[in-house]
Amino acid sequence: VNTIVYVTSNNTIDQKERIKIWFITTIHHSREAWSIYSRNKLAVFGLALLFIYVLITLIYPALLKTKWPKRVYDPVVGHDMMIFPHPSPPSTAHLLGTDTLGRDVLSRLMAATLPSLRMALTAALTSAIVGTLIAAISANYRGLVDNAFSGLADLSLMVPAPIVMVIIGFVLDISDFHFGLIYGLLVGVGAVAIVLRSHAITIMTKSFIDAARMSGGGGMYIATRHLIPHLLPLAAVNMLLTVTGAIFANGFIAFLGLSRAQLNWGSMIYDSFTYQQINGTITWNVLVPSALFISLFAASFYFIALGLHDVVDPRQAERSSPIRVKGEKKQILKIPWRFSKPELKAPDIYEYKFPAEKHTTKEFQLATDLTNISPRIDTATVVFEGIQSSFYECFPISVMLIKLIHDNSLTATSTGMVSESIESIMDRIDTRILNLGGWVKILDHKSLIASYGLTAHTPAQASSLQAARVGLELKDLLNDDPQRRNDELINAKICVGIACGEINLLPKENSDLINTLLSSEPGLVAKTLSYFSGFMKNGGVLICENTFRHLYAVQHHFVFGRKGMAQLPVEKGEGMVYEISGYNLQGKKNELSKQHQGRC
Amino acid sequence: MTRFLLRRFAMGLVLLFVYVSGLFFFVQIALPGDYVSHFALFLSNAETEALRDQLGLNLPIWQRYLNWLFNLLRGDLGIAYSIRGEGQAVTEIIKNTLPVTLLIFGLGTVIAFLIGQWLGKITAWRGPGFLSGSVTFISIALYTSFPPWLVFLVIYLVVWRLDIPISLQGRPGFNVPDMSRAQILWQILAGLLISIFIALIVAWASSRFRKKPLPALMFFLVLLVSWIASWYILGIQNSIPEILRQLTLPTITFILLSFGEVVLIMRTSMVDKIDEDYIQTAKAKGLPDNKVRDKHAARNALLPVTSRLIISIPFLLSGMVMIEETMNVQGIGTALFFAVGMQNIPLALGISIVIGIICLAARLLLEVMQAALDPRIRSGLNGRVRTP
Repeated sequence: VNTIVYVTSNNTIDQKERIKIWFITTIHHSREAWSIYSRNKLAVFGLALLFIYVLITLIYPALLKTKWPKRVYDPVVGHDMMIFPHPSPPSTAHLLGTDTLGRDVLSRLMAATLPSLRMALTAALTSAIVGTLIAAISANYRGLVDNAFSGLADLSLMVPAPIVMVIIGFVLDISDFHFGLIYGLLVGVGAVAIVLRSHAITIMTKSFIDAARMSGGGGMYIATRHLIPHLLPLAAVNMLLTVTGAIFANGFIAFLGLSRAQLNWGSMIYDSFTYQQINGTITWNVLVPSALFISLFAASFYFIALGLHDVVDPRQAERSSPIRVKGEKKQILKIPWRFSKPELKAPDIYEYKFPAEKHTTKEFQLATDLTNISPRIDTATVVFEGIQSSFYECFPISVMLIKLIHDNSLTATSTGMVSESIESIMDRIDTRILNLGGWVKILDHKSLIASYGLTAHTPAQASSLQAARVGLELKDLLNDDPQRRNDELINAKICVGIACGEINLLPKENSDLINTLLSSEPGLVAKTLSYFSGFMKNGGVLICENTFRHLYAVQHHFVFGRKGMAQLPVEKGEGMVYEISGYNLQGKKNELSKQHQGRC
Repeated sequence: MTRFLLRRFAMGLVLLFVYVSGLFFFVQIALPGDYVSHFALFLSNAETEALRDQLGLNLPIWQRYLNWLFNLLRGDLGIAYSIRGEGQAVTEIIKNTLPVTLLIFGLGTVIAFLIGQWLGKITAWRGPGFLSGSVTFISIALYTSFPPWLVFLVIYLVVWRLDIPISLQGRPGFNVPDMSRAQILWQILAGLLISIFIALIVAWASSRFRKKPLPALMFFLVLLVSWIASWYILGIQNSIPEILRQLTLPTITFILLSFGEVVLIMRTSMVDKIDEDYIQTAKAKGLPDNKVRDKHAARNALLPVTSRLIISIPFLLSGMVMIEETMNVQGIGTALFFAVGMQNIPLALGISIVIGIICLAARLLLEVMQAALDPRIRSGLNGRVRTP
């Protein structure tokens, strides 16, 4: 069976198509999210409950205007003269009976819904916004800002938010909106920020953040485009969990009789207790419904949070994946939803269209997914169409490519078809990789050179970093199989990563960008290069003049081998190339062999 | 580990200072009026001014702050305002009200945690069924129930229906409890601490000499026996029934209020762990079922529970305060409400500091526990962080 991977890219997407793609992806995502959410029956129940509460707030004013006369059913001053004595048990006129002062219980319950809903939503939104902002800022800038915010969060853990609210309510008669605002602020700075911050820090270590940074994204751009969208789901879960505390604190203020002017479920319970102390009868028809209303209100938010938690948790999503291969033991293939189901059953042709250049995560996901199913691919033909050399595309595609090529060469080794298999592919893709600004060449049966000198947009550091990354991917691939690692990686004459290209001084409006890159990346480049080359026994990483100059500051981390002239992939003419190697795992310096000098 | 603890402790002290200073200004500025203005109707103008002078309320706020801060550094929390002559020292009031809160909160949290994690473990391990469903239902119901309502239900069921006599006054406001009761409570607390120490020593000796860990049940038995023994040694056994009568109901209510959350977190966390490969491996090795559950699944599942508990501590404490207020336990929460209501600034500040310290201490304890549970955190603390 021949499986062909067609990878096409179309960069010339107009606005209309972009919106269409966004729309389709949103629908798909929400459908997927709903399928996970709806598996949790409690979560659906919670949503229904909240819907009922919203419905009550909508119906109540209309009901008061049409069906219920104000004189009898007003939540504060209403009184039914037809019934004696009050409190009365449920009847047809008063579905939940009346309280000691003769007011309709159901009407009071419904009147208290709107303030509670307003308070809960304000608290939830405030805590989520504040928490997300603080988490994004402290994960993005770290250092002093981060310390200040985590100090603030620690501080707020010493001050129980509900107690503070009760104390505030003690002295100031605040409205439900202000209550929600202050409570959300307190909790958002504290508990929510703590949870979100640790999540944000793990996000910042992901590769797509590196990608965005390398292609020139500033702190603000990364925070708004990449970090915050990834934080939002967890923020939603946490904001719903804070609501429970807010509802109880609000009810408790009302219960203490501190905000009597406001109608509240808590104050209904308080009133009932007060009248019970006066006339000795327990008004169950007031107590039970209002306690139930509070509990169900808190529970609805909690249940929704439960469902959202399932949606956010990637393991849940994996578990729910409907695709299971028969015969293989419970192996779950993680394949993006974009493949329709019939194609999955008999995978002959995967066709994948890169939607837009900014969907880096999805593309990276695809690359890894493809490599996951690669044992089932006999020959892979990768066709690039219309690719511009933008970093967004280069990185995932090249990772995927290297993996595919390498896999195939290894399976082919046993059948003695090495050179043909690799080289036939190489012939086809060589020119296209050149278009990408990259360059792959086979030195002998088991070694290959991957080089990336991107175009003028990308500084040299980025290219070498990227090359080293690809090398690391390769190493991970080999690492999966200890036999291969021992046999091949140590002895392989892999020479990966000619980092080349000019450090272009961009026009003045972009000068900030180049500064960011120069100040932040070299350390990372050095680290990655050193770490990668440390794995190789023979050979090292070849770097170009510019990168060499740059690494000179951290030269004690590297062993420098010979230097020589070599043809660089992108530039015209020859350039100086240096061989470097880092420390290996035992902390010893590698000895550089002299085999590959100047051969590139 | 020691370095970590010291660092956290130092950090806590700095935070405490910031907290205390912020609190001082917040309480003074945010609250309208002052202590004296509460009694303005009963006092003449000259008396009001005299009282203000006497309490130092006429000084500028920074001077009051510095005075208060210097006193604080000397360990003196000041004297609670009073219109009749000399007030009580704040430390004295705290000393009298703190033990009840500590006893109920500490004991309640530990018991709620133990019951909660055990129930969550069992129900998650059994999978869906009647037991699991009912436990989940009850925990959700308790987790989302309004504290005063829960208090009412407990009182109604226990006191009125079952006719168990438990002293419950109405809502007479705040009286400082008498010294002897507070002393007895402190002694009980000290006894508890010593018994925990003894039980830990016994557990250590058992694992050292018998080469077998002490079963959990034995641990608690030793704890209980030595606790009861400590009452007799201290000679307070006669007042125990009275204290039990007062404290059982609040403690039970507090446990009911807080264990639902623990059950729910433990359950979700445990359900996640059941699908892990190492559980399959442990089962395949032929380990008995409960060993796999307790040693392999539950230990890992406990981590999220403890880290969540760190965040929940303030919320549990406020639930505690709500119970105190509704059940009229003369604890630190009732005192706080009283102090804030009367704008008795030194008292309110002193109590807030104590609450802050309790939160801080509970948090530190949980962090240590987390380090004990999780070898990754432990090695991170010792500075051996694995490189990727």
